[in-house]
Amino acid sequence: MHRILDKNKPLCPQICEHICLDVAFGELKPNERIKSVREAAVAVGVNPNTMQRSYETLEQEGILYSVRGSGWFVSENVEKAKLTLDKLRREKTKVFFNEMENLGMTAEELKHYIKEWNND
Amino acid sequence: MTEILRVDGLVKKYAKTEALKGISLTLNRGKIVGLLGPNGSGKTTLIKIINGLLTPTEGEVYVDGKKPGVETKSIVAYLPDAIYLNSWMTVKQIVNYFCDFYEDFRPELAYKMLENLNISPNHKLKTLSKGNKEKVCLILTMSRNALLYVLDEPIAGVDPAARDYVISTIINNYNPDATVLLSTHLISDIEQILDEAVFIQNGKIILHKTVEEIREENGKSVDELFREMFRWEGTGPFTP
Amino acid sequence: MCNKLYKHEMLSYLRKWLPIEIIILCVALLGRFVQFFEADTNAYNVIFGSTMFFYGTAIVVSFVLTFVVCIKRFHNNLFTGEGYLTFTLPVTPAQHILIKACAAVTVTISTLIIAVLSVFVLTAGEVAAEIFKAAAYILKEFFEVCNAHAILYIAEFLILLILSVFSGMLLIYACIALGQTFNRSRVGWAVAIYFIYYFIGRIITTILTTVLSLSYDSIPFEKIGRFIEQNPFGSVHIFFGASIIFTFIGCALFYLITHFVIKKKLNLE
Repeated sequence: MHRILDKNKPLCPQICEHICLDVAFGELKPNERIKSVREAAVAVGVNPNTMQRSYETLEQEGILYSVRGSGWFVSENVEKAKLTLDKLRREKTKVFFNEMENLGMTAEELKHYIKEWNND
Repeated sequence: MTEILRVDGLVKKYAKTEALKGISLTLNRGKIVGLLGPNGSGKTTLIKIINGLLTPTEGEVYVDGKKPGVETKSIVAYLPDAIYLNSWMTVKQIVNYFCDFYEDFRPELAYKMLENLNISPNHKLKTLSKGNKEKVCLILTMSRNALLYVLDEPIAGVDPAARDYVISTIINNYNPDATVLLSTHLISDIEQILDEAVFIQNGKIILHKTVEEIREENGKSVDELFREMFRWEGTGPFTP
Repeated sequence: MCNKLYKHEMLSYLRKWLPIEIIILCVALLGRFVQFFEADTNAYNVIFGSTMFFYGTAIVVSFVLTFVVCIKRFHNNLFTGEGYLTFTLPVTPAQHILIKACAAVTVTISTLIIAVLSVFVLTAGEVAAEIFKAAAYILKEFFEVCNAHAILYIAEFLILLILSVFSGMLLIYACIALGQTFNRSRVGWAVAIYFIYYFIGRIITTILTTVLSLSYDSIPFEKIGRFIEQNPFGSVHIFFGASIIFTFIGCALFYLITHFVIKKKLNLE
């Protein structure tokens, strides 16, 4: 979780997203114990309440689970997190496509660019 | 009871000026609240009244349902905006002083934090650098297990590197049931740790919202909103 | 809480006041030491004379400094930057004022005791023995004449002494506190209020003496004289008692003023 938060948007969804990505990429392993709310809050530099809310949201989504007295863990079901990753990828790609369209780029040209970019 | 601080119709008049023009504010437990306003907006006056150091002209203050007095002072930890400690005392003497008077003071915690900064308990306060003095003041305040922390400009005098230290010290040490009210005009450095923001201008509260609400509703950071709202303040050449 | 307050008051006094007292005792020792070289020479007389002068000055200075230290402690600890901490301690204004006054009185009385002690240091040897003998003789006579009243007199005198010191301190406290109710030059106002109090006191005394001397004939001097003659011991008690009551009323008044300002009018700069 070393990504920078955008202060122009609510922080809680951003933190959730970051944790999701960490899970999806396997940086956080299933059943791994993650930082306590306070530790994570200090590390990211946000309010513990915000961190608490983020963890709770992720728990509802089934990405994290909490064990009373011992803390927060990554859920075994990583698919949820991967779904979020996929959703995010699609969203960003759509934004990208829209922008390219505005620049007058066709799908053929785009493929060309991608090829060029891969060769570099 | 979730309410920790209630301020009712607070007015403070000085000989010629009116520092507070009717301030009402309620804070709940477990929140970090930023009291944000430009210089001279009345932040310090409000904080001094909450701590019983100034007598309001009108209005009342209730901390945990009680007017300022012995009971409120034992649950409020206050960090003034100026260095207020006896400079001839050693760090250890000051820690003992706090220990003697505040039942909620945690000396082990204070010594641990001092050790992390390489400040020896035998140092005299006056031999410390300005930055270290301010850190010692913050450590003493945060070493209390209080219900309400009132921090007046905790990051104003420290360099950007030390700001992270101050912020992590606050987050690390406050009790989750406690409320932190901190005043500042350096919003971008501190807005990430806030739950709520209170904007104060010319002795009046002009906004009191959660920071997530502000970001959601305006699509901008608290700092940006603040800059926008206070842009035309003053009587400079740009005043319309 | 009170004992902790008192402890910290005394700790802060020790830092500034103790060196003064140590200097007094050292000067007294020096004065005694000089006397070992007693000789009928000009040089000795000059040295001895200047030592004595130095000692006398030191005693006076020690009282003045003690007084200044006491006043500064009250003002600085409450009404300067230190006040931010002092007034956020979980302590009532009454505790602050009374404990501060008690500590100041302790220090002042100790200064008095050390001054007496220094006389014995200065005269240690035959002279001191003579002083002891004389004091013992006076005390013995005093007890013989006054019998049971003697102890009471001493007690009354000590109470009056302590109360007077309290009253002197609390008067200054009240002036400092009243000075704080002004927006500007608060110390200046405190000094002004002290002098105003002093002059009003003078005016009242003058008026009273004038009134008394004008109504000279109506005062029953004879009756009073007869009463004193018939109750010599009782009259002294009445004198002490009345003084104690007046001083106490003064203390209470000054205390109430100080307390009112701190409780209701506090406005730290």
